[in-house]
Amino acid sequence: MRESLLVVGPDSSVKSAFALAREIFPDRKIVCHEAPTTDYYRFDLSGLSAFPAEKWEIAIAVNEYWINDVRRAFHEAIAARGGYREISLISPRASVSPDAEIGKGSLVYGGCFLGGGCQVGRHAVLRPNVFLGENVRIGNYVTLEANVSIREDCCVGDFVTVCANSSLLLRTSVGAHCYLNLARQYSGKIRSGTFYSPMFENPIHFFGEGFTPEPESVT
Amino acid sequence: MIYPSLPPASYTETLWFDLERERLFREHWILVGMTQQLPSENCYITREVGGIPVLVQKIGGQLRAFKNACPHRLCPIQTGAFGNRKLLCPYHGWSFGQEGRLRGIPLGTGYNFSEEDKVCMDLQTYPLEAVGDFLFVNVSATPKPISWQFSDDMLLLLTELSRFLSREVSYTSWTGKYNWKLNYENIIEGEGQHVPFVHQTTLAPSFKSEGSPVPPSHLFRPDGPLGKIHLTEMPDWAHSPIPGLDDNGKPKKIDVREVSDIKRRRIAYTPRWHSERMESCDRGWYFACHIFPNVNVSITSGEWCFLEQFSPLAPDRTEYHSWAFSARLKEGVRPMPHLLWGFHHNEKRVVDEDVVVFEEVQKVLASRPDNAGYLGENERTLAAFGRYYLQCLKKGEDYA
Repeated sequence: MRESLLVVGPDSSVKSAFALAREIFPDRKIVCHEAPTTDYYRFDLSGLSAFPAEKWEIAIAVNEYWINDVRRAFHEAIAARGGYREISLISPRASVSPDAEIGKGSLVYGGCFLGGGCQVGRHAVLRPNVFLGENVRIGNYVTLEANVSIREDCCVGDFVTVCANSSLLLRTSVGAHCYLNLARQYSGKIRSGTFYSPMFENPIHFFGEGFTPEPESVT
Repeated sequence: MIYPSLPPASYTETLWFDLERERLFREHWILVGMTQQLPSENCYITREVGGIPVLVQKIGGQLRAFKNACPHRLCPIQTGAFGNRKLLCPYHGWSFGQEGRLRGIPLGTGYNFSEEDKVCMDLQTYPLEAVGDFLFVNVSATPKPISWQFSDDMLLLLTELSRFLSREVSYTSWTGKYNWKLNYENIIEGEGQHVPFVHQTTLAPSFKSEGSPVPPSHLFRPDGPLGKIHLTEMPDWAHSPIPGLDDNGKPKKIDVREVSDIKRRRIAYTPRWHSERMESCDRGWYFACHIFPNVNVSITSGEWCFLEQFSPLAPDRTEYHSWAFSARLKEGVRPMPHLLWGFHHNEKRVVDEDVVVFEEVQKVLASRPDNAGYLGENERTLAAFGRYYLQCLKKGEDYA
């Protein structure tokens, strides 16, 4: 383990991640660095030169802007600089089953429960009190807001955000790039590119390469 | 000069609604969707056209339109708004082939149909036209060619726009408690007179023409793909030819092609984070294409495109169909659902402001006023729409 930890991100969520890091490493030197951004995708990373990669580990915090695509872009921008070893931040107040897996660069806040056999992908953010039942699979660049409850055997694709106080019923499948932004119970199969929004009576559906409706069984 | 508005009953009464369905929506080409919604074999969309359930499905690589009702017990063949599923009735499992021909009946011997009996058991088909990516269906018993309804300029424009727009699209729909014509009339309003009042903080600011300098329009420059089409540009909208009037200013029978139109106006342009990721080709302009009877296509700065359609559900209920596109993404830029959803939210804010007005106007119309208002010189596109509408409902009798 390198001596010092740099918590970096382009938005205010870096402050919460910094608090989480201090909770995990109370005796370690930790610096919080907000990398300015002029729009969602342009990051000023010049300030990182004060934190050489050979001395600093890094934890990255980006909120769910644009269904976590900004998080992807920020991670890729950091990776492109090379050298930093990225870690996950998992609260000591989270209950994580021994056989649960959490991918690199994820943040798991206090009060979360990850049941046996859970798999959480890379660069996911589980805000406080997220519940994952047994054998839940969560993709990369996913955000589960506070108090999200996901029952056993659910599957959540990459680049998904589930809004606070929502739940996924048993064996629900959520495709990639979905934004479930209505606080409610979701069930069944939600196709990739589906957006539930309080502004809209019906979900918005995205069509394009990689978002073709999947064949339904007719038997 | 005062132009007459439509009778208030045409916005509220079932009799008028039924006539609209029969003589307008069942006799014209009606937009049903975009090819982007049907990318692969067995992808389908379902819609209602003039009250008739319509299914558009890709079968054998071809797009085909059918009545969405199994000839057996009239169950819809496809029950979702869109999806990917074989042409098979979910009720008793009857299956159909590429042309809608009855292909298989499970437990067929029990029905004891002869081959002769089965002749009338194919799916009913309808003509479908793809103009670029825009899909139109005609459910008339005697459909006229699409060139009867749309001018060469309109067909060229839709074709060229399809080349310019992204292959990605986001789609949704919602309902409003107002008559569909209020929506269409709002869109075709001559100079956007309501914009400074209804959309003070949303749309109105961008209708100012100050902004960053803009490059020449790829689409509309004289040697561009749409350089030679006829369109009216603000501030000349009010001085454009008056549809449905002869050279002496007397009403004449309106040609349906006159009631669709193409307009363009200069607007403020400020690049945004997505601007550099797309092949914008009409920066600094707002462009709108009104497609009779109930469709609007608008493009803001050559970057955001909205396709909207106002489908009647009842005299006082409208189903609003909304598609959002961007300009084509540059090489290497991955699809961005979040970008189109952002566009959709922006558009919905504007539409919601209109809907507040429509629903209030609908209440007043329901009180059976003597007339539905007065139209001025700059609203003659509404008057032309009204005259053609009545021409349709009266089956050719003129209205002046």
